[in-house]
Amino acid sequence: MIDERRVSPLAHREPLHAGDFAHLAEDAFRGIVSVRAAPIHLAAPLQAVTGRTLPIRAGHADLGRRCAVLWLGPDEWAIITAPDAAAGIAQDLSQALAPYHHQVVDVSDYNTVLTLRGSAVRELLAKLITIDLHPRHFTRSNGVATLCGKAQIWLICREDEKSAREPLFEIVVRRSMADYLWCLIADAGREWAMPPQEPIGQVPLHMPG
Amino acid sequence: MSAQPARLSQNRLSQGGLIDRTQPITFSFDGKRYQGFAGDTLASALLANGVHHVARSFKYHRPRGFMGAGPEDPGALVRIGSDPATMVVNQRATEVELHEGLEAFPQNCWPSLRFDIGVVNDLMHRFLPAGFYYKTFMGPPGSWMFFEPFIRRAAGLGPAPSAPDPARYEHMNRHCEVLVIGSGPAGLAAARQAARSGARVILAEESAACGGRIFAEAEGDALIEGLAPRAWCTRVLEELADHPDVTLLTRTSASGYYAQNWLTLFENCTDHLPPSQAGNLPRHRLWRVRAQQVVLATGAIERPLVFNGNDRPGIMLASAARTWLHRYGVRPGENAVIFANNDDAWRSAFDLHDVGARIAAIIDTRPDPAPAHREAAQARGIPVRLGATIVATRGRRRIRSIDVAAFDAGGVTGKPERIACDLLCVSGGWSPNVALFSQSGGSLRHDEALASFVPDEARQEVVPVGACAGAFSLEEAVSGGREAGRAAAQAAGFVASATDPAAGETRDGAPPYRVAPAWELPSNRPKSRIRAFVDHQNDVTAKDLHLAVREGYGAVEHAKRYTTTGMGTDQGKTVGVNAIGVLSGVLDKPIGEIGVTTFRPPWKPISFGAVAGQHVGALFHPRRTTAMHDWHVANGAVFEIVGDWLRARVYRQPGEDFEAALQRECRAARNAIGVLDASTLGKIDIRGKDARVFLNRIYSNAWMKLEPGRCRYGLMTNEDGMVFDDGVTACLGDDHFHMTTTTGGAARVLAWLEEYHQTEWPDLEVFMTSVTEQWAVASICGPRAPELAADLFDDIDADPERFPFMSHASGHIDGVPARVFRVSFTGEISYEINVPASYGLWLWRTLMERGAPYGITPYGTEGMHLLRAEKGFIIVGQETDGTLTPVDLGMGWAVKKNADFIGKRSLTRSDTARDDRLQLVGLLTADPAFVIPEGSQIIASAREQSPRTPMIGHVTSSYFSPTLGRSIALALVAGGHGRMGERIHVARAGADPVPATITGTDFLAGLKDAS
Repeated sequence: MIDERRVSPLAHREPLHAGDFAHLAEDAFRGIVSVRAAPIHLAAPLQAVTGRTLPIRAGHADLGRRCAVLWLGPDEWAIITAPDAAAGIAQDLSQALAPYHHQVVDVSDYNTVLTLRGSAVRELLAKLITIDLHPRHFTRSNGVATLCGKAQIWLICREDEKSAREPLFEIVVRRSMADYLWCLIADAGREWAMPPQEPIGQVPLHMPG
Repeated sequence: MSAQPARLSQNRLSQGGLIDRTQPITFSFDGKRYQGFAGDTLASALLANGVHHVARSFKYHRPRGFMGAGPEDPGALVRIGSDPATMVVNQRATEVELHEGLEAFPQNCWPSLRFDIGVVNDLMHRFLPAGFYYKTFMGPPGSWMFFEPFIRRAAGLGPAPSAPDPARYEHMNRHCEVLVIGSGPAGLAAARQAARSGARVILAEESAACGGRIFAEAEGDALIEGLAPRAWCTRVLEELADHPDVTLLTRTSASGYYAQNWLTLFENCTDHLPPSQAGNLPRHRLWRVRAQQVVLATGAIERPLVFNGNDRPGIMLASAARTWLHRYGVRPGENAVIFANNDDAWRSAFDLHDVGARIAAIIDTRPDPAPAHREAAQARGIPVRLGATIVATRGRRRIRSIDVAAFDAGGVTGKPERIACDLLCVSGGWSPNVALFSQSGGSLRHDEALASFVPDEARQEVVPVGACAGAFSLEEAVSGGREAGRAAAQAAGFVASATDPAAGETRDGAPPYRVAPAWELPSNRPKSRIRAFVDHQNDVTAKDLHLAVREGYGAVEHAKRYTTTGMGTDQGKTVGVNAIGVLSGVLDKPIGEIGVTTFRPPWKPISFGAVAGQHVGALFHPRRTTAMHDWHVANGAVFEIVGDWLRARVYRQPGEDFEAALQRECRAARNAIGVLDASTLGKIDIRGKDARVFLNRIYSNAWMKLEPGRCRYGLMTNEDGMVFDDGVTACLGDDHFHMTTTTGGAARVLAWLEEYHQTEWPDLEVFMTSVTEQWAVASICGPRAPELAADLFDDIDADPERFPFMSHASGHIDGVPARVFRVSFTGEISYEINVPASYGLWLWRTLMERGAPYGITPYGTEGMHLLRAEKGFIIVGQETDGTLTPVDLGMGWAVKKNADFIGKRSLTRSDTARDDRLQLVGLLTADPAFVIPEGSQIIASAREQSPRTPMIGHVTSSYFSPTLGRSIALALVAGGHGRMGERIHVARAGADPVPATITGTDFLAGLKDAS
């Protein structure tokens, strides 16, 4: 149950569809935990707390149904989990890591998650992202931190429970840029008739001088 | 065929070419309606209608027709459309594809293409020599100013559209193993061979159809792998279509070749369609391709010859004539002369003859053309003149006749003979299209036999093949392409199949290419009358190049700029080598020693829209919004942008202006409660056993004794000792801190901390994680804030006695977790309330509701600036500009004496320690109602003096203070800390200086003293 006093960054948006080519939606309130530690200290506690294996190669992620762990650096990972699970994981992990140098921070509210499904998603994202998105180079169980347009994101490719053929792409983006990114992706989807979106940041300015 | 062929225009052949005679298209040029066919370019359709004169040249406004048939054409530039937003100018008519309703116009002419006033420039050409433009800079003072308007008006290309472009543009980022540029025989063979390995292949073709010169030449008895060339092309394209990892891009030119095999491809997606059919596609796309291997199959470009009168409509490249014939089914003339220095051009005579044109003569500068050609000419009854040149031409808007004469090294020898013609096909030989190879960093070498520059050493993973590599035979093109494609795939880790052993013979349909260079041909006319154009776009003649050499600009890069040869939209595609050839003649140096000018991207002009892609207008840059944004919008906020964030500046109520809203908000904050959305402040979670030591080195003030539960204001200085950020940091635990930074400095500060940790102090155990957006922050301040706070928290005692200034507490509001900091930026009692960001809007609404009885009033960043100025607090970036130390700001108390920190040594340098530095002070004007404009200069005297009054500082912040009922200002004044009470003057533009008195910066303290 999501506390109804909470408002997600894209609460004002409805999912967008472009035939079978692309579907864009917000997967709001996902739990996200940032973890800094030495891998040798983290692997066992992570397994114990989340059941996931610590990914230690760049561009890789260990993706479970309820919990995903994304490699972000030699001593930095992100755990992406169900709504309301983040606080518990953060607390348990922090406790387990107490003897070691570490930092565990709940950043669930910092970010939101966009999901993209459909046959044209790779092509759509290639308009905005410079990494190699070909299935030989970026597929299920891959995740990277990169730029999408001018927004920093984490991009994750995973099995889609709704489709055997096409994977599901998840984009984790900071909340203040979520609406910009939403509109930018919708614009990239124009080719497949995704409806255009007007950014909420288009407000009257009163600049100094 | 069910549809009836439309009536054919006068010069249209009844069959052949890549046009569809069942699909007529109506278009207009220069206000007149014409008909063409699907598959036509604007140029081919105009030629089919007998229109040769389509443009005026850049400088002399001379009539221009079609010299080339593709991207190499220098002169036939037109404007498409007339809508001020969507019109496009400087389009090559040879590349504009016809679509229903296309409207094209000539440009650079007035009042009309036919009668153009600008042609007076041509009559004046002796007074507009090379370098005229530069000479006006040097000449009598003011001459550039005098000539500029004339030059700008007279010389030129099309005018820019005057309204915003409504079209969409996109980027497309791609990685591939093999990128093949060009889809002639060599490119197709390379792409196919690479594709067979399973590698990702991108094949970029500049025109609408693949095949290159396959469709521009008569097939004759040529074969490729045992098939007629066009059948072979179809088969290869079918095979490529079956490979899922092949991307074939037509209407796509490679525009730039950059480092690490990164190339840009410019794709025209919809320009060739009527607007109604463009659908949802962008107008243009810029493909940004990272290729492991690049195969350049960019072909070769034919050169014109440099002879007197060589620039009339109806004079075209011999290869262009064949392109019109074979690709577009257009006969470009009825009575043709061929003029060449090589064997290849003779084919134009034969092909034209074979479609019924009369060939008035073949003129070859050489004595010894291919015997097979001589026989073929004789068999067709075509007159041939060897060792001859054209000494003059006639015909204003279309060539009418030529004068031909024999010549030798000494000049014209025979008596000129006049020959009537309506088409002159010229060929000075072929130049491999090395633009991209050169852009890639590869070196060029001059090949004597080919009389042109060919690729030499590659600097990147790139292989030129076919004509681009100087391999002009079909056999070399196909075998070279196959091998390059195979090798490229293999180098990228894909095993390519060996060459297909079943492939049949490949052979050319024409004698091998031979050329004898003839760079500048003589004429029997007086020197002053000879006008032999080298650059047809920029109106540069051979004579201009001679002048450049005489005036000391003989080096090729100098000559280019002095004469403008090879500049403009054309960049010397056809003529670059001719200019070098002419220079070599003048300087009497071998052409290889002259060298070439630099080939720079783009290969041809591309739209700004494609470069910008989607990132324009509302999507130009993210405008970051806080969780409370919707409330601000709904309540009259006007915004300013701070560090990409949209921050409410003031909230205007109905009927209120900006200043009134500001004064109301500030009074509320001083008298009741003000509330500020402070979510945008940078926040960094810092953790580790050495976190405290780390902070102590980062901040200029002391941090070792801050207890858990307490907060402290900190100043950061850079290595120079200059203040670069500030903020309050709270101690959450002995090894755990919550740092805040300025809104605009958040990313910079985190990067600064990480850099120092990773490069200077990796031994310190400390981690930093940004939590800026994890928390939404509402800061309440004012005398009644404690009353509201007492109501608000479930489990925090808000009484300022027990929850003192510069401390913090964690607790809940209606069960929602909150971190509350008792810090103040206004001088009032404040509570900075942090909640998880998804509760931000709820928190704000809750505060507005429960604060209503206390008169809670939201204030924006302008109010915040005013309130803190009353208190004398600095804003980094407003008071500071990267040149001020903590001492300059009157914050010497924030400089610790006993421990090291970044910038400490710099504070004792003689310059930073001097006491006449700019120092922060307060200013009170003599007239309390006068608000000094921010940025005003401060002077020491009441009047301007001679010598000029020294400037002694400037005003950084200035407001009308509602609390003091008068104006206040903060300023930087030289030695200001020692000048308290001194009277200074503030300069004004166009008015007398205003007197003011130097005071301390805390204006509220002054108020308290007074009361």
